[in-house]
Amino acid sequence: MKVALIAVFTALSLGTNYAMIDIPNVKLMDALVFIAAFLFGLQVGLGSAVSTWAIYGFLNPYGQADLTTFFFVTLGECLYAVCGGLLSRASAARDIINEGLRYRRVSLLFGLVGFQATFAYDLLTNFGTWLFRTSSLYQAFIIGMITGVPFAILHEASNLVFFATVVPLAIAASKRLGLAVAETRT
Amino acid sequence: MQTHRLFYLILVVATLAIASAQVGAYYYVERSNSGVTSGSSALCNYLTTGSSGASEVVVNTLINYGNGTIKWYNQTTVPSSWNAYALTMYVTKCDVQTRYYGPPLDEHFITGINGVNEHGGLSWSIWTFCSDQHAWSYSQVGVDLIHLTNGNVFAWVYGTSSSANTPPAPIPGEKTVVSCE
Repeated sequence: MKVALIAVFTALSLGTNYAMIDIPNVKLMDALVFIAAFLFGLQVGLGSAVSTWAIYGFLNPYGQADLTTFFFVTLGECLYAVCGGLLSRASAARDIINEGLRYRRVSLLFGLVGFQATFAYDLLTNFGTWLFRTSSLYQAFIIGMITGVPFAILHEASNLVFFATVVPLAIAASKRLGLAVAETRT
Repeated sequence: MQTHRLFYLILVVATLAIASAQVGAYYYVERSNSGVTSGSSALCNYLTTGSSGASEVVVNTLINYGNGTIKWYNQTTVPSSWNAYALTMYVTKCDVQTRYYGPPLDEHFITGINGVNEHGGLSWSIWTFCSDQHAWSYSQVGVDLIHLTNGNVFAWVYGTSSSANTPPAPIPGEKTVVSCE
C-alpha cells in the first residue's frame, strides 16, 4: 500500500514539476510531499521526497544535479515530509480537522508551517550550494543565505500560497473520501 | 484556536521574523548588484577572504577585453576547493555580472566582467590552457564545474560567439585545441 502511495505522489510531483519547469522555484512538489506525510505517514512522505528527487535531479531539462546538490535538495525535501508527519500528530492540527475544517484557520496553520519549512529548505540547500566553494562552514552559510535570497523569497512566497490553498483542499477531499489515516484521527 | 493561541503566536512571530530577514537580505543583494557596495561588500569580502588553513593552489588568469587590452593575474593563491567562478570573483574583486540558475542546475552564467557586459553578439567565454599541447581549449562546461588544480591557466575572452562559431582564442595567433588530453 505504501509503495503504491509513494508511486502516486512521486508521479504527481514529477508531473507538476515538469509542467511548471519554466517557473523556477515555484513547484507543487513540496506541498505534495507534505500532504503525503500528513495523510499517510512519515514513511510515505520520505519515500515520495527521495524518489521524486532521484528522478527529477537526474532527468532535468536544465541539466543533471551534481551529487552535492542532489544530497542537499533531497535532504531538504525530506524536511517537508518531517513537517507533515509531525504536524499530523500535533493537537493543533488534529483539533481543527476533527472539529470540522474551518478554512481560514486551516489555511493559516498550513500556510505558516509551509513557509517555515520552505525557509529551512532554502537555508539548507543554499548552504549546500556554497559548501565546497568557500573556505569555512560559516562562509558557506552566510554567502548561501545572501546570494540565494531572491530565489528563496520566490520559493517561500509561492509555498505560502500553495500550503494555504492546495494542502487544506487536499486534506478536506481526503477526509470526505475517508483516505486520511490514523495520525489525523484522535 | 483558543487552546493553541501560543502555538499560533509563535508561528506568526517566527514567520514575520523570517520574512523580515529575507527582505533585508534581498535589499542587501540588490544594493550589491547595483554596484553601490560592489567590490567592498561583505559578501565579496567573505568570498575573497584567505583560505584560513585550507589546502591551496596557485593559478594564473588572463582577461582579454576584446579591444586589444589583455590583463594577466599571475600566481594567484586560492583554496583548492574553489572553482573558476570563485576564482573569477576573487581576481575581479567581485566586479562580475552573472545570471544564476538555481537547483538542480546550480550554475552561474557570467555576463559581465570588470564593467564589460555582454552586448549584442558579444559575450564572455572561458578557456583553459593545455600545458601538454601548449594550446588553449574552449571550456565545454560551465564556470562552476571547472575545478582548480595547481598551475592551471584560465582565460576569459570577450568576443563574438554563438552555437555555430567558437569564440576567438584568448591570445590572437596562439594554438587552440578542442580539448586538453
